[in-house]
Amino acid sequence: MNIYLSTFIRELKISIRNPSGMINPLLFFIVTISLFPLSISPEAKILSEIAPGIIWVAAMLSVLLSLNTIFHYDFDNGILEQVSISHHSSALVILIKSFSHWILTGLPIVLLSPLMGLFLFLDQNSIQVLMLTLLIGTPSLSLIGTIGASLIVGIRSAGMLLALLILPLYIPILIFASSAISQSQAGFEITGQILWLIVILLFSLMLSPFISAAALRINLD
Amino acid sequence: MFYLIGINSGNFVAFFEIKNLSCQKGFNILFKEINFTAQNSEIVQIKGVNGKGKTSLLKILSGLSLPDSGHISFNNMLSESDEYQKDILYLGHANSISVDLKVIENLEYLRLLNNTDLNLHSIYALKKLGLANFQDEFCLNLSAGQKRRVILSMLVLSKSKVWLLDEPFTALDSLGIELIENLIKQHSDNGGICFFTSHQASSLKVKELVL
Repeated sequence: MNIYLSTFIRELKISIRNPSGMINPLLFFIVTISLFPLSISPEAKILSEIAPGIIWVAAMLSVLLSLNTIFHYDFDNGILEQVSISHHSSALVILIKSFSHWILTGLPIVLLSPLMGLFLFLDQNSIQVLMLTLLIGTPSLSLIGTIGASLIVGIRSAGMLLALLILPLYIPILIFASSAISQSQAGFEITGQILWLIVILLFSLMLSPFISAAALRINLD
Repeated sequence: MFYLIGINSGNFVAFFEIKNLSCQKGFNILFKEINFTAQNSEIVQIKGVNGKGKTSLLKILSGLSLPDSGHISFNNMLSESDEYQKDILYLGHANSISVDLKVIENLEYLRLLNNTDLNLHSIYALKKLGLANFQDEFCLNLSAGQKRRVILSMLVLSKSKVWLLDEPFTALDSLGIELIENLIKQHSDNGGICFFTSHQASSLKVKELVL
């Protein structure tokens, strides 16, 4: 079988047999969002106003929570060494790892987001925009996160360091995505923000695998 | 099978060269300007006390890390090239297996990463290493020695001409050690080169590389 396909299947199998890595971020996403109506106000007007920001921040933080798992185990058990010295492109294998990370954490968030939108009284049109921004935005989160994960792979308990490295890079995505949703609530055009999100996605798709492969090589030395 | 015939008819040349190799870790100079060559059928035991840089040397030979000076070549291919990687099998300290996967799944994945003989079945290799009924067992439930055997079954399947084995005998029982020694001997009879580190005296006829 093809190495890239079997890397994908391998990632899925490991996460199905060890599901806490995938379920914890998702639970975090749901729990954080459901706390806001309790703590701020149950009023529909206020909640629907702050909903875009809340949902996006929660999505970002829950992706951040799960980044550690991308390389950590494979670094410890030596599989990354084998990937790095194999005659296959390690950048492509890493791209597949980012993709499976998205399938396991980003995609469930996209699928759950309409429910969270209803929680916070978003109207139907805004929920569609919310799903669209998450669908374009979360793959970028996984790709950029992979760079961070590969930089800190040898360091014990580097959670805070990872956040410091990665969050500044996430901020443009957060700004464009949440402004797209609030603009659509106000009835404005959102093509600009969506196009910017696509630009960020394409850029991270191009650069992230190569940067991560280089960082991993340095860490494996 | 063509592979074996090719060797027996004598048109198989292997020449491994280490030139002026130096490595420094922090302020510590591990080794300086090593020159060494190995040819067809030679088994090389890398010797040295703890902390002398045996693992670092193997990592450099595998292409995993870069030396501070000098270069390595196999049949005139430099260690940075893709062709070089195809001829190298490196088995490190770590077992390179995921405990959440079955034995057979781990082995199949390792096979994809390395250059192996596609005519041989993975189960055949596991049988040879004494893991006959373990292919569907999760690696979590294996003992340390059995985990070692999973990765060492790559030796049965590998088509690489140069083997780099870092402490292959750790955690193995005496029968296991004999088994691995036989595999190394067979590899050398087929014209391959093997570098390994070990503190145990082995029954193999080896050329020594002392750090």
